[in-house]
Amino acid sequence: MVKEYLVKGDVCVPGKVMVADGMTIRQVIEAAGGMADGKNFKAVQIGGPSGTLLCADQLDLSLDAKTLAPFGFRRGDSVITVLDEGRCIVDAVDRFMKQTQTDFCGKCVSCREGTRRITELFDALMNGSLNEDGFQLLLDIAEMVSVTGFCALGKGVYDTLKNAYQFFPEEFHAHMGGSCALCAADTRPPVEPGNIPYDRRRIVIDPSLCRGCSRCARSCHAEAIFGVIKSPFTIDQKKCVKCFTCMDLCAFGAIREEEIDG
Amino acid sequence: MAKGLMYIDNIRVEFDEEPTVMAVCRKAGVEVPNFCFHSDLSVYGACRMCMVEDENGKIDAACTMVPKDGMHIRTNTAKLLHYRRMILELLLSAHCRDCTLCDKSGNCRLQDMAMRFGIHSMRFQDTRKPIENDESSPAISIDYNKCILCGDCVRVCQEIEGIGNLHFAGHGPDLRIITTGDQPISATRCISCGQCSAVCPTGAIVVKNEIGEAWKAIHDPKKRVVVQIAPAVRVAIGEAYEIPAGENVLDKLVSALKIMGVDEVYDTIFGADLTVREEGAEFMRRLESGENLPLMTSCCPAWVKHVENDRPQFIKNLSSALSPMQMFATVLKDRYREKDAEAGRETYHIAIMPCTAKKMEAARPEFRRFGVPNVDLVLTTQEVIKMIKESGIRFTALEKESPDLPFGMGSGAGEIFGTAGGVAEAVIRHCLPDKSKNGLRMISHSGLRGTEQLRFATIPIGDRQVRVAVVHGLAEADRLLDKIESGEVQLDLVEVMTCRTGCVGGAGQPTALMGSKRKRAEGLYELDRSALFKRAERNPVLNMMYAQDLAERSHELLHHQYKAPENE
Repeated sequence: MVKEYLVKGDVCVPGKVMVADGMTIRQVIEAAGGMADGKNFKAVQIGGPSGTLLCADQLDLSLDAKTLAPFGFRRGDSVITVLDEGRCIVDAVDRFMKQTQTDFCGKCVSCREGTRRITELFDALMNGSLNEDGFQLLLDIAEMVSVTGFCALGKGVYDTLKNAYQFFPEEFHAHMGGSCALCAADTRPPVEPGNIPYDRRRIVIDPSLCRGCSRCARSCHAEAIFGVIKSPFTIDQKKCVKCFTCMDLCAFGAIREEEIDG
Repeated sequence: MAKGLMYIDNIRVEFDEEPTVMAVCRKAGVEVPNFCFHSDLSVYGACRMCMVEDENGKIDAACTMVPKDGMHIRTNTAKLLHYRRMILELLLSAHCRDCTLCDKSGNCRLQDMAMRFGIHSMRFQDTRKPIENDESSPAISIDYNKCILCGDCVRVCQEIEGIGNLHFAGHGPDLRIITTGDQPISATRCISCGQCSAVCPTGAIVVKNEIGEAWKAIHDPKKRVVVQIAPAVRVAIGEAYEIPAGENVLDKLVSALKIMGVDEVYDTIFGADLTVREEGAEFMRRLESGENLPLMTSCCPAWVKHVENDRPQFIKNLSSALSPMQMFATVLKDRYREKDAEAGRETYHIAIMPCTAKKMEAARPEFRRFGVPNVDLVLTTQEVIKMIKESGIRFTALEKESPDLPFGMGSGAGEIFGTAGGVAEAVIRHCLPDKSKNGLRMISHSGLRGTEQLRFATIPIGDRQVRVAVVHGLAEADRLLDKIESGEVQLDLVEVMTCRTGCVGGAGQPTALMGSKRKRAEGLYELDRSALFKRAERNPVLNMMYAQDLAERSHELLHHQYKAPENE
């Protein structure tokens, strides 16, 4: 199945990329024109704030849920943000964490209060006033949110941070020490997450293929899928958070995404 | 045959109809900490305190987990405790910390939980912008800064009461609770039922505290402070002193009030007897003429307000007989007026009620005579408990004292006013020509008693089959009104109570689960069984008063025809 992603960041031709089955991350970046300004690849963030972050080691893995599951892959908002060697990873993660504050609903305590404190702690990290203990607290909170969060959005908060810290610990320590060479050297405008056209896509159930097994409705984190057993189900677009859980689960391939204008 | 078997902390439990693991845990006697789980309300799953671990190490919320056969649930692993502590710390850090100034202190689920989990320090500052308190309602005070956004109030207002006056607004860190249109609560369609305050785990929504007014009056030598005590109060107030729910502690309460300095203490069941007689007579008149049937009870002020707000076509069906509290107050003030003028004293009437809406009723402009309100102050059970504690009275050690005469006595029918179905039963008792014990028994087994939210009964009075409905919870009442409107059901008498289980489950009562509310109701039926007389018309004081001049003045004193608000 061909899936549509939006590739942005430090690539030559940012924009839509159609990702076929088995396509690796390297191929996806190449499809977007390769790295900009001839710089080397550093990391890629997939799926927005609840997505995950991968580094050069994972470049040759294919971009699908199964292969990338150990890294906490979530398709999320289907945006691939590519970072080159000149970018500070802490700054990038900070921006993704900040995005939670505008994107998340705030229903459950762990995610609402947790992400609020994570962003506060990140502010401290960015201006160099966070010590080791504070950083451990930050990781602790993020881990707690990832376990106790109500939906997939909250549960995905930790992965970007966890992977970034695992792949580039020295940059975090530099920030804790109060000085980051990369941040000081990089004068380009930062790669901002988000800013994708709202509701660009929607997930729909093909009534001719749906057999009404209710598996999607039962799996839906947002309780957005309704229907009567043995007749086609429908998705309430206002409630759908586009976590794609249903799509991955459907045994009949009846759930697909549709692009809508604007 | 049970549907399945599971283990909660190694306790073997069979489960049947329990929809969630949380319910099974309760069955096993394990109380998983939570803020947002109420068995009467829909599952929301926001507080994340009820996380449990299954046999595969998967952690999920017990309130949304579906029980499966063979599950092994752990509720207290080290990991879970760690998460719970952290969630609590996060909750507390976004909460105001002036516990000592809070009305809910000592009774607060958040405070209680913080003590249980030993949260002694917080690593975060409260960075939220303060929101102004809403003191506009006569019944409740709202402090949005103490809100933990569990959504209990939103759900109870929508699902149980059908008003839907509270909503979530904003998202992410700006999520908050607002009233409809973000107006002060008094400008909305709030009916003052106070159920939001009853389910609120923190001090965000509390019953309006008017203890100060009460003390001022009690300590004023120029005021004769006269108290009436509602039936539902006597079976619930003991719960604050470890006395089981449903046990009658009226005599201790009378004694406590006397020690506090109240001059006279009477019983609202006297007013209830008046209501029964007036409403019964009105019911018989309407049955004969067939006009404005079904007769709907008007004892519950929140229900009356709801009809005025949203169902004005039913205003004509409301009984014109006043509520027991107002009956009592008008008669009392009327009798004491001349005496007071002579003695240069003023009668200050305090009603002790299980209800927050009574505060709103007492403040209604209709219920004033000669420029003074009939009821000067309504205190809820919660407030009285606080006053007793403030006075340093050891409630359990008090000697018993019965209410004063002449208004301290009433019938068994008056006692059961405090529970859903009681008003209808009392009125039917009054109207039924068969005055024997068999008649009483027939009424009590007719279906008026029970636990269902909507109950029907058919009772023969004379040559008529009288169809009665009892409904509690306004959402259910609204559904019944729809059926009455469409002609799907034909009824003669409808009793509506806003709160689940009636006044015993009122918002002014100590917070309780459904089980103790039912026990309170059972306590009232027990009081009825041991009452000297069961019918309102047997009340000797009342008979004497009717024989004097009350019969002629009943319309002036004891009735009020509700009218649709003019601006609509």
